[in-house]
Amino acid sequence: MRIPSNSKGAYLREACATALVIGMSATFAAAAERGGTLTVAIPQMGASPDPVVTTFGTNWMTAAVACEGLFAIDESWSPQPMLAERFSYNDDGTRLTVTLRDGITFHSGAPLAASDVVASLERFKSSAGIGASFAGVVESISAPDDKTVVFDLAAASPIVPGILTVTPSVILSEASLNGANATTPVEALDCTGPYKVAEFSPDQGVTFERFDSYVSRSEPSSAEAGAKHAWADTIEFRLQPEASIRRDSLLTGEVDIAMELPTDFYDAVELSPETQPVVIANQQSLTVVFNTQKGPAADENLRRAIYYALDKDPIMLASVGNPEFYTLDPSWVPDPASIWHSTAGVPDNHQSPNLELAKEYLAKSNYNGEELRWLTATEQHQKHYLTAITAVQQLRDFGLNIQIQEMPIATYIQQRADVDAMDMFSSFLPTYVDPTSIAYLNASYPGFWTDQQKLDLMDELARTIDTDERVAIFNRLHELAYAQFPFIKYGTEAKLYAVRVGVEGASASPVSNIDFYNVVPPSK
Amino acid sequence: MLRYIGKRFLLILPTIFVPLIMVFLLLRLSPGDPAGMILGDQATAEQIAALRAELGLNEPLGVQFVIWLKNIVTLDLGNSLFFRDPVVEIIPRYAGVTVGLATIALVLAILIAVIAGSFSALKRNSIVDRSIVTTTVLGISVPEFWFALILVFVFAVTLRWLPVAGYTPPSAGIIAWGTSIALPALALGIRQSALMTRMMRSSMLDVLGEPYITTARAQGLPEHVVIGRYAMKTAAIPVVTVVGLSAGYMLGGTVAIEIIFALPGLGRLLVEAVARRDFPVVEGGVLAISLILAALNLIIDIIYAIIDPRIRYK
Amino acid sequence: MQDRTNPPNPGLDGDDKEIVVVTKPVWQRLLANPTAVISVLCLMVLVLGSVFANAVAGSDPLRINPSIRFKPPSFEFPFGTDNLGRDMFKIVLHGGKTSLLVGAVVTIISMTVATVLGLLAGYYRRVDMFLMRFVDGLMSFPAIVLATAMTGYLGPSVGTVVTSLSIVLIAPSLRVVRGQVLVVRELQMIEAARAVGVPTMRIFTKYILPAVSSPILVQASFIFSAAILSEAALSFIGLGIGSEDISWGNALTESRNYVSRAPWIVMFPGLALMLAILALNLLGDALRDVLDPKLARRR
Repeated sequence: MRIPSNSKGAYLREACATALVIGMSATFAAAAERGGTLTVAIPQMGASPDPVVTTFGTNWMTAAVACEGLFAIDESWSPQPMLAERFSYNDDGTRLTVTLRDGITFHSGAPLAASDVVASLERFKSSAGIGASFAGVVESISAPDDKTVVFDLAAASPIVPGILTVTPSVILSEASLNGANATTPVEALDCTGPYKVAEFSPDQGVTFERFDSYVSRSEPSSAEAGAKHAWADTIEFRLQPEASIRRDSLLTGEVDIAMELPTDFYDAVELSPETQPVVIANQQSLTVVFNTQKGPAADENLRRAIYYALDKDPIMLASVGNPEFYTLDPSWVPDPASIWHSTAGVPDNHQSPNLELAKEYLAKSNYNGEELRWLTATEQHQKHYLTAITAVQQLRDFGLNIQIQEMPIATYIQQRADVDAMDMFSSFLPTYVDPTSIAYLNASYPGFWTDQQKLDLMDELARTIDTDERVAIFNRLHELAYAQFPFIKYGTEAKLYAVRVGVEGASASPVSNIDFYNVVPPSK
Repeated sequence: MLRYIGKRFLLILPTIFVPLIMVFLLLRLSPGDPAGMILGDQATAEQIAALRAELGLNEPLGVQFVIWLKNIVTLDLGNSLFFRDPVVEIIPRYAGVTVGLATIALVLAILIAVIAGSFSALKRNSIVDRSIVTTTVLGISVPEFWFALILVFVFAVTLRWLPVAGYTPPSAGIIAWGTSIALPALALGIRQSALMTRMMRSSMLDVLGEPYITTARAQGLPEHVVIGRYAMKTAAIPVVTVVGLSAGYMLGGTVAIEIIFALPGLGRLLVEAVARRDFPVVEGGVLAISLILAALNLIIDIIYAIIDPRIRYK
Repeated sequence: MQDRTNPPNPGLDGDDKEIVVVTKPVWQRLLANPTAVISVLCLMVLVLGSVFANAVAGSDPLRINPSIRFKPPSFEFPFGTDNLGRDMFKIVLHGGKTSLLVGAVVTIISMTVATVLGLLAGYYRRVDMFLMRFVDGLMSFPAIVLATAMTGYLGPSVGTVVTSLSIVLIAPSLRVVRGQVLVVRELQMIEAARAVGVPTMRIFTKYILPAVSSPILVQASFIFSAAILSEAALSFIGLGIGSEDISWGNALTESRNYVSRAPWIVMFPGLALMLAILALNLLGDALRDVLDPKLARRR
């Protein structure tokens, strides 16, 4: 019953092609008229629109529409200037100078000045997650004049523009920040984006209105970079936590876009003449991360045995459901459009288990039937539990003693950070702009991969400026991950969402599918 | 009677402290950390520790309890750790939605129950009785979230009479509010009405067997007087109990309905607040529910005393 | 209407002393009631199917086999397979074990506690004062918060669900029992018994308990179904028995997105659930008729 991954690829390509047609119509829509309301059903939203206070990416959606940073990512995952006019490094790569665009104003009407950038990024610098990586590279941020921002770096580093594409690094006016620290949310987002937040109602939704003084870039739109058209007069996010309700709202035309649908809904939205599925191929990797510090899983031979014992296709099939919505691609950067996509070090026959080898490694390991605790979060049933249970069934058959521990996400986050409380946990990983941002590679991230060779490579990666050299270093890191298996990737899953017929420009790019400013609402 | 009400009113205070202390301890003793939930899954241990200190979560449990108690007594419920708004402003917003929903559902349920239940009892063992009983059993054997999904499929997707989901506040017009709350109220009310119908029927049968009903009939009182003034009034006692239970259940237990219909109600707020360990919101929510229920129980006890003269409070 | 409800007056002259007119043992009278017989048979099928699930359907119901997802009912899979390729026949039978166990244990625990406390509260005013304040407090504690906190503390499991549901369901049953005792306490027969010096214990067992047994039975059937359904509702919001176990409610929750694609995934656990509750309620009604002395007198 194994399905060769090629046929899946073929389907995905076809799905991409369909999506591409939708994507291309955005260019045609240049002649389209502005107006109308674009209503989007979303599965979750944060308590506050402020993206700095949390590292949960799902809570950044509002800011991603209303705000902009100095840089933005294009479809190939490279940073492009957004609020920046131009940028340059000094000769030894330790100072980055960014010149701001002219004529940009905040929603409040105040003009964008370098001091706003300094205030916003200082706050970002003291925030958790990627803000911490930013703080690790940037020593100081200063504004020699109103239009220039200077970043003095601790050591030569190429990663600053990449970091400054993430949503928490967006620029808010200094006045609106009002000295707020990185854990206190601001009252409202005074940003520079094409839409301003008219109403933010927690647990209900968000209403955006077009910002009339928005000055768009002239480059063609590409993911979050380039021109932003602001077709709709109003964009409305409606919070609908239940997936079937999002589908039903779409089918009845109450909403124009239904985000995050289970892949089993594909046929329903495909069959209806009024709706259309959009498939985002290569969205994220489904993974398991090991405790490399303590307990039985700290034994790398046991981890190797697990890798060779796993049959990845059934694991992906159980979780994703439709064989046409995943691949068994081994790259730790799931999107092939990124230059960081890699197959370095991946064993031959990655897609099938090798029980002989698995037994060899198990024999070499010190594992003696101790219980392995595998953490999953209840809220992530599909990504966490379904992969885990399928993998655990295979590993039990192989002779390992594994207990799945299912728990609320608050407990899961706390427990996986405790070296004594877990041996492995289910997780997933999207594509990052720069591999230095990959959470798993952070030595203090649960799993705590602190191999000396890895630390040296990470260090080298952070300091090297030349892109080709950096790709080579990352490939060595990738190789190391496939030798030591601090984490195992089963495959890459696609994501499904759907739109009403008449919606144009809906993006199928894994970079961003929330670029609603470039989506034309159906004429009603 | 007035003295009784006054006494009961004073007794509300200890009633409210039972759940409040329970929730304080349960929340703080269970694992999971608000700081971790605020910062998200990419935060490091040091960042989480710093935020814990900032939020005052590192104090010993006893100290936290004293601070909390002092705040409760001074009616300072604090700010939500997530919204950062005062809890006293957040709770009424959400409670309004739930109370509106529960009221409509309850009225619907009581109407159906009193009529169907009495009718069923009076026509005991007839076809009408049997079909009412069967319907009620079907009604109580289907989970509410299933009712909700079926109602959406029938009335929103197929017939397109009502919206699939979403909430319109009454300030936007009573009709619009009614439309947005109709399906959720129905989904919530059906099960409760089935419960109450059964209770009404069973209790009505009991009462119809009482000697005083027979006496009343023997004295030649018209049947509508016997049923209306004597039987239904007494039969309603257990139903009143059930109404109280239903109301309590609806205030805290509408989560599934609120999730499906995307209503910003108290149940969903509470579950989410517990899930993200937003202590002040959970405590405020429990306090609000306790107050409403305490008031409700008081009203129910008074109704008991009014409709059943056999219960005398001395 | 009147003919049916206004039967010839058999015992107006008789007072409360001749309350129990038992002619045959309860079980014999139950056997004479076709509804009761069918209900008992239904329940027996469900209980036996669950208890002997391993023998009837095979073991390891949670075994995932993604290559056979969404297979319609067939000879090999009488109830079809679900979205993970699990045998629905196994899931329904093994799920019944959990659902019926949750229902039974919760009903026994909460009804026993509620009956004992309800009798005391209804009879002794002092106990009533103290107990009812506590119960009011307990009742105003949202079940969902208790379940969430307990799940956080103990992790999702059958034990967690049983514990939190038992605690939550004590209070409403206690109120029902107490409300009924309050009424019965004022009856002449009790006052008479007290006056002639019948021991309190005997008053409880001989007079009050029989008089309140009918609402207790009806309430127990509510509690049983409420427990099974609450377990399903808790599963829906992710606070149920967890994915490592299987119950009807759990299966219903997981299948909710596949109604149109594979109706059998929804139908079979749904039917089992409804059948169990239907049978229990009808049995409760039948028992009520048999046990209730006042109604029995009118037969």
